[in-house]
Amino acid sequence: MTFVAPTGLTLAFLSGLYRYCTLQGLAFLPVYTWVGLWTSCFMMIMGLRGSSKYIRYCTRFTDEVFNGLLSVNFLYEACVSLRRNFLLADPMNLSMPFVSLSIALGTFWSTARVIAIEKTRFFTPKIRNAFKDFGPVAVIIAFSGINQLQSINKFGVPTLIVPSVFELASGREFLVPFLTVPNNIRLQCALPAVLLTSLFFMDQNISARVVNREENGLKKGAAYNVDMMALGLITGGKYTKLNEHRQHVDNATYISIFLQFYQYLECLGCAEQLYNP
Amino acid sequence: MNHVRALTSQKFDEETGEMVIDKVCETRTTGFAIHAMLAATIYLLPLLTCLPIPVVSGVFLYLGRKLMTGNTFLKRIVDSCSEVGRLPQEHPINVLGRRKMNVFTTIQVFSLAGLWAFKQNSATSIFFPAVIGLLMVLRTWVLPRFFSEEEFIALGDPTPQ
Repeated sequence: MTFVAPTGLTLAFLSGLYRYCTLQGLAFLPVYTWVGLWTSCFMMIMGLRGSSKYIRYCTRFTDEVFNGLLSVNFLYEACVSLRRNFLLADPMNLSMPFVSLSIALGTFWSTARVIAIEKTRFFTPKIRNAFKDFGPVAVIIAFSGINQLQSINKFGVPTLIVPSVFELASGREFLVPFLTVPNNIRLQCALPAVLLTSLFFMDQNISARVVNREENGLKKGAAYNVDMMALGLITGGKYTKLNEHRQHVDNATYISIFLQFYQYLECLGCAEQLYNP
Repeated sequence: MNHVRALTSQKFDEETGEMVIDKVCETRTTGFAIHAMLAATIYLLPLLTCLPIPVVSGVFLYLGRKLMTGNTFLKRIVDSCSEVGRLPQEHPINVLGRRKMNVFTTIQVFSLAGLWAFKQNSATSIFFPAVIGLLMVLRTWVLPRFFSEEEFIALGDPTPQ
């Protein structure tokens, strides 16, 4: 699920939606597809009407609270995951939690240092930039490598579990069977879609504002959403593909179709921006 | 995380494109390449099993810390107990005074806590986006009753026209 969600906040929304679906005894994916379709529809309407001018009411007050929330969210996730190791460990043997803690702090520290190289006077600007661009990934790879060493590996630090097919059981069609949703539910999906639209709208525009403090059009808004849908489908493809290799060719076709669609919408966005500077 | 990072740089490209059309075209290629490569990472999925979860936590710690830079709200929390003489001349504390600045900061802290509570509770998290909208309402209609425009400007938060 985290691979679908661009930010932790969308994830929060999704888990809320998932919970609601479970309570109502609805299949989550078709409902989610409808929410996505409604959202994309709303986003396009908003984009075409140039609604992002309203984002000016979102001043620094809201910006900074929102950013603070994102920041707190990251720190919280990290701390929860490290704390869990301590809670689950045998009280007489806390090596694994502490090794995990050092790996986490080591990654944190090295990433910060490797990015700070850009501000030092070492080497040439080009090399410093390369450090900044590729450093964080190199740090991740290095620490994963260290974890593979015999001396560290014996502590059994937990590694990522590649999502196996939990609910997209084998043999699921590549396209979500969204036509199975009853008509009244389809309409009701518009309501969460309004919420999701506002989340995307704010997420998108606030990040755009943060990037260069300029109130721009919703240009990427519409595309952002399609990007999200495409990504959702790619992720869906990942799940399917993990299970059945023969579907792979079909998936690739679908993905490229969606990427083209995505590009097409970005063209639309550009045109819109020209009309609505 | 790479996806978020990829998206950010992509946005940055488009923003700095300064509305030049051929620049935008170029960015579309970038976007396409990014997403094509993302699609190609299907093959790398098994490699993820080598990635320790603490490394992910470390990256999260870094991202959380990095997001805090430049956030005057979080900085004002620290500044609330700083000595005035050691703060820069243009600091809002010189216009609002410590007490009023702290009131503003406290309102933001409560907003943040409220948002967090909404997000954490799975029964309400679906309405969470709407609460962010409420913040705008709070800023546009409620806060001007207690703070003057001058004070908002000092806080770097002028009222939109």
